[in-house]
Amino acid sequence: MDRAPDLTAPGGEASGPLTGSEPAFLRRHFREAILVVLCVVELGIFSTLDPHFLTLSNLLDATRYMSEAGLVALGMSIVIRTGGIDLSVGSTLALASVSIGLFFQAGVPIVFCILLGLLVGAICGAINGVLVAYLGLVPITVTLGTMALFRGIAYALTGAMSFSGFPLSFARLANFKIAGVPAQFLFLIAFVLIMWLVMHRTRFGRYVGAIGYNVTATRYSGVRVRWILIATYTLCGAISALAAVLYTSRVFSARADAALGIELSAITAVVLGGASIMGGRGSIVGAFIAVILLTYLQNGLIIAGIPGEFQGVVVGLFLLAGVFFTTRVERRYDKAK
Amino acid sequence: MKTMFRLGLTAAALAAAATMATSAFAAGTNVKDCVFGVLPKQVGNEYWAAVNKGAQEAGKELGVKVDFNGPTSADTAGQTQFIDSWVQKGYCAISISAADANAVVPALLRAKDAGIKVSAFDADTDPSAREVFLSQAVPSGISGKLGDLMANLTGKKGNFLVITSTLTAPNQSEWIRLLQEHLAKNYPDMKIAAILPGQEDNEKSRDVALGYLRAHPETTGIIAVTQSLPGLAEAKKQLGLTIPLIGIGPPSCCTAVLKDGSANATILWNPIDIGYATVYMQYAQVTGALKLGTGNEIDAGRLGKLKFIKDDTILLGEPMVFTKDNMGQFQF
Repeated sequence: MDRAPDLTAPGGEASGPLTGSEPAFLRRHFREAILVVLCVVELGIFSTLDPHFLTLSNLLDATRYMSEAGLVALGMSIVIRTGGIDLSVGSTLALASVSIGLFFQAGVPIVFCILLGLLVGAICGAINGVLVAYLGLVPITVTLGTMALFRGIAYALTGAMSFSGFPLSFARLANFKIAGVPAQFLFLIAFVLIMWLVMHRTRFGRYVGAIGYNVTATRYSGVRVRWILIATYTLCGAISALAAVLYTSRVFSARADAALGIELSAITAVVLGGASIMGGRGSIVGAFIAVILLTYLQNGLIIAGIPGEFQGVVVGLFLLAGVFFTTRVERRYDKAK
Repeated sequence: MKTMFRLGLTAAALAAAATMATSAFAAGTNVKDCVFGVLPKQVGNEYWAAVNKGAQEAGKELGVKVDFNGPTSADTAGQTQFIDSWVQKGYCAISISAADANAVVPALLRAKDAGIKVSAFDADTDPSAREVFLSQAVPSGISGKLGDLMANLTGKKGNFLVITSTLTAPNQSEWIRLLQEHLAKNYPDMKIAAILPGQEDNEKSRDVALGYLRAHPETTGIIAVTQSLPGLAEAKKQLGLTIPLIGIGPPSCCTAVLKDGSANATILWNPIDIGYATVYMQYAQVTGALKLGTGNEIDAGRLGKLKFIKDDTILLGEPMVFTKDNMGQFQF
């Protein structure tokens, strides 16, 4: 790292000087500001393609789809902050979903099924954490393996059948609204706030960033790096399981093929939100805004009637443009020293 | 700070100033202003392209716009987002071929609550979520034909490998169940030894078949309840097997392997017809001409009158067998 880590900045990012005339808040949250602008531009473009897009009804309804990817992105951003990565989040979600179904089938009350599902997610995360922290294995390789393992276990346990005998009350969880806003979205916002507090106002959060910047220095500072890493991955796993609860409720079935590919969406959001894959840098709020950006992108494409075959092209191009644009503008300002 | 605040305010203003379009479909809306949503399991293969062709043809004849769109993967939960978006757009009718009978139920119920006519075609959902289902062929008709075909090709006995799409796909599961019944009743010496998911993907089907056939070289024949015959024929070729291979699919899925004989036949209803009939069914729903009840009929344009075989199920017709001898006549 050639930048002095500025661990006191709320964004956790090293603040690079801009031209000097910007207010300090904007300087520190430059990436987030760009993302908000992109969001507005995106909403504008889609509103011209079809009048039904920019309606309160649609905008609120689409937030329904943000919560699962959003939660997973939050968990992922913590891991990426340590310089690691967790590709197994989707598989953990699937295994947690399947566990909820199996426990319920066995007669466990639904509330305990949810808690047990969270426990399963935490265990999956802990496995990742131990492999990374104690065996010193590279996170991408470890989680590539557990990605296959966890989902494989899910498939094996269910024989690839889906289970859908849940009580209707469980379906309400992800299908009801408060004041017109889907409950999952409010839950996501609350969670973003909690995560922000954890990462920027607790010692744990401080250490997570420190590990990403310079793990050796952190270790020599007396921080128990191994435990922090295990805790990080465990937290990520538990958050994925939380997303599993929402997913299972939304589709009203426990399934081993749940959330296929969500890990890529999560990484996309986290990177777009300003995290460095090398660790140490990353914005909870940035990832959150990126999730909003990406969800409305998909929603806008469907509303505009773009055939499914072309959606992947648009998403890919958008992502490349987004990363290019945000990185370039940031670099240009960083150069002005 | 100021800029950030201004940006935030603009964004909020945009959202708030937007028209509060209601998503409820007002009864009495002119059907010519309607958009019908047809939601396949996935887009991007010839079968669904043919269904779309038929749907667009019917849409033109009836003077309604048909939006045919769906997820690009067999993502069982990906269909829900389309349903929710179409509810926002106020479509008059939504018809779905469900990748999973239960995953789409909450979304479809929301559509129903918004006053949209919900139906299913090709692959049914839980009946509570839709008013009517268009069945392309009686499932027992398909499995019966499959069983009879394979029996004729193999001397009525042996151990057979069945390749399906995903183990949760409702129509495939139903066909397999009925096939087992049909074999048990008519050809007791024919046994289904294994059922493996090929996920309607040629490569995946080839790989699962290779894995199985290597371990079970005594397999007498392969029955696919999907159209992944090219992949399965490839597996046969790699192992040097000449056992019969039949499947369900349009002739265009498997022209090469049907021609060179590595696949014996496919059976199917006409996918163009099912797209066509689906839109006519939606039209009947929206105009109120559709009356539930066994024995009732709906008008289906060039297909004539289609009958209700159950109180809530309409039948398209009889399945066809496509072989290298007759496949030249069909463009799909």
